[in-house]
Amino acid sequence: MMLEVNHQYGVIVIKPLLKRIDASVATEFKSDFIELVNKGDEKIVINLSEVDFIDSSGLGVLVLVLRRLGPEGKIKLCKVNDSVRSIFELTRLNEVFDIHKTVEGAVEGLLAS
Amino acid sequence: MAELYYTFPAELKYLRSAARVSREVCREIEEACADENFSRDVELCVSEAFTNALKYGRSEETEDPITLHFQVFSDKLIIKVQDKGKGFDLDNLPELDLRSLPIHGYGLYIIRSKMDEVQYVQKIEGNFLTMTKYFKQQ
Amino acid sequence: MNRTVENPDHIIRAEIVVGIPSFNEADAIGYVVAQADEGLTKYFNRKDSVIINVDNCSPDHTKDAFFRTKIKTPKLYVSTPKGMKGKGRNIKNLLEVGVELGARAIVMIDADLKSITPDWIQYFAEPIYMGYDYVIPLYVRHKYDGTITNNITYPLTRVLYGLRTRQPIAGDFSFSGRLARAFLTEKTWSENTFQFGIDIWMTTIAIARGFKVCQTFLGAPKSHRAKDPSGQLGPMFYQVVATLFGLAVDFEYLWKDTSDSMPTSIFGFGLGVKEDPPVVDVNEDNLLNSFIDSSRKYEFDWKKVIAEINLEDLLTLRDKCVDEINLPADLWARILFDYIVAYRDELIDREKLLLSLIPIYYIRTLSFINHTREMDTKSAEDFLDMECRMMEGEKYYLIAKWNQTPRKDGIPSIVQYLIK
Repeated sequence: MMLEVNHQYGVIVIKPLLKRIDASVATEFKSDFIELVNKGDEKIVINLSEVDFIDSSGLGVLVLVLRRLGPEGKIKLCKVNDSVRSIFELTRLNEVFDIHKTVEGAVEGLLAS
Repeated sequence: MAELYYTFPAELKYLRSAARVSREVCREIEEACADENFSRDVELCVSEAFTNALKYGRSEETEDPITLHFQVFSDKLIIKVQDKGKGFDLDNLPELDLRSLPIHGYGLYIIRSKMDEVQYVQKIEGNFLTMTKYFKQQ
Repeated sequence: MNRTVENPDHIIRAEIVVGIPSFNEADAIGYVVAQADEGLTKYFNRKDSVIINVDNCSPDHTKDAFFRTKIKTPKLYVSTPKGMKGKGRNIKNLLEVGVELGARAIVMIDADLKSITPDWIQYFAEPIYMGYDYVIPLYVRHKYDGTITNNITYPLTRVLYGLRTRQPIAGDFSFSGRLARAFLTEKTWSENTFQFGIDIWMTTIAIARGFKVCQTFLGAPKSHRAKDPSGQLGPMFYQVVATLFGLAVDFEYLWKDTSDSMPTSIFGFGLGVKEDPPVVDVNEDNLLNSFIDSSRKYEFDWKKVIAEINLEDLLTLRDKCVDEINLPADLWARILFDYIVAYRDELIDREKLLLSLIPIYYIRTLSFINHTREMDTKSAEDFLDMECRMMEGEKYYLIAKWNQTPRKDGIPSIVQYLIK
């Protein structure tokens, strides 16, 4: 399993345990994620503290997951390092997945919306 | 001008090695031009290009490798990624509409954003994706 | 090379030769001779055979012990001149005499081997009769026995030449007369080959020159004086590794083409070893301390030889405790490849170069120990196989580095080419 899962205040917090999310792990990453999402969660916080590097394959998985959550679905990111953040900014995905500094902040943000 | 060639079998398991060698090449340049994001951007683009080469650059019949060719000039780095597959039509790719939340297509968008010049040429010897990044002058 | 021969049985021809190289093995050699004799009598009764002791004029009178042992097979004694030592010299003598006698199969057994049985003669000679030229043994060894084999010679032989020979420096081999003649015509004999480099030299030549190689399953654990890998390595490390690296330089046209490795045919089957191999005690603190001390001593040399990105990862190990040490297979491979290229270019004096590799080899040994601590022999073998596959996956690095312009003035960087 590449993902660590916690529940906080009714929100699921998923932490990828990978340093790099690229094409060499994307398929497995995607299927692990889909498995979690199929269990019915709609509001997800993704804790990217372990992740140093993400490329388009990784981004694609996150977008896919978001789409799967349906119209009520929301994903917030947190603990994103500078280089990972810059990719989200470059692709404007930071407007879709809000980026928070802390897990608590992201959870609060989700609960509030 | 310094030149380095790295040839990898066209397999996903070599993606990280390809990224790593690009990091090593850039390490030398970073010291020369004090641009700390240079290596990060190049590594990302090489990762994207290699992934594309695996996707579109591999034909079922052949086991042709993917070659990375680095050329270091005094003011820029040129990276050529060569594969021997069917390739794709760079100029006729649909424009990426970021607002529509696409799942695919970010790779080339990232390369075009991070690199100063991007060219794609299909020859008999293979498909060549050429990426050029200029050093930030001090 | 001058040699003295004592041929009391007046042998001029032999189809099977069993050669026993020795230096000061007077108390051990009798046993090996007796076992070899029993094997020859039992399995090759109708063939002309001879047992040859190739010795370095041992001062402990190994020769007398040899001749005193009562056996059916005729004996021959060959020695290098007094004062000239070296296992490789003994083997060269064995090759020459074997060829002169017209031998079809030459079996070579270490004089101190306690685990030998008469069956070994069959296990070693039969494949030659089946058409193989070079037969290497497959023993069961404790997972910590044979660290130079496990970490250097086995993986590198695999990566470079594409053949998985598990014990390339086993010490006991057999070869066909054809291969013996080929060995004698090689021009790469050197002082290292005359010493302990001989085993890796023979294995590499046999594979590189396209001879038919197989492994023979001996089952029983290798019983010899197993050493703590953290103890004094002595000149053996240099002789083996320098030979391996030197041949890589000579045979570059060969290894640049091979990618994956293939298994070697195995003669005999795994009969289920009931005996566990003897345990090897390792002083792990020694391994780590040696690495930490050496990182200061060899700091300048390592900077010259090892690529910066690899060196950085390596040096992070200085801050870890003994059981945290992890030197991943791919990093180890790249470091070895840095060394092979440095050896080729003589970046620093070759002897110093290989001395500077030893502490890194120690830390690699420690890393292997950490990974396999809870494993039994079979699991450790599977783990090692996986590590070797990872090392094979780094071959692109060796090829790229090899092809780059040789480093000038020892400046390990392409920055020298930038026009400022």
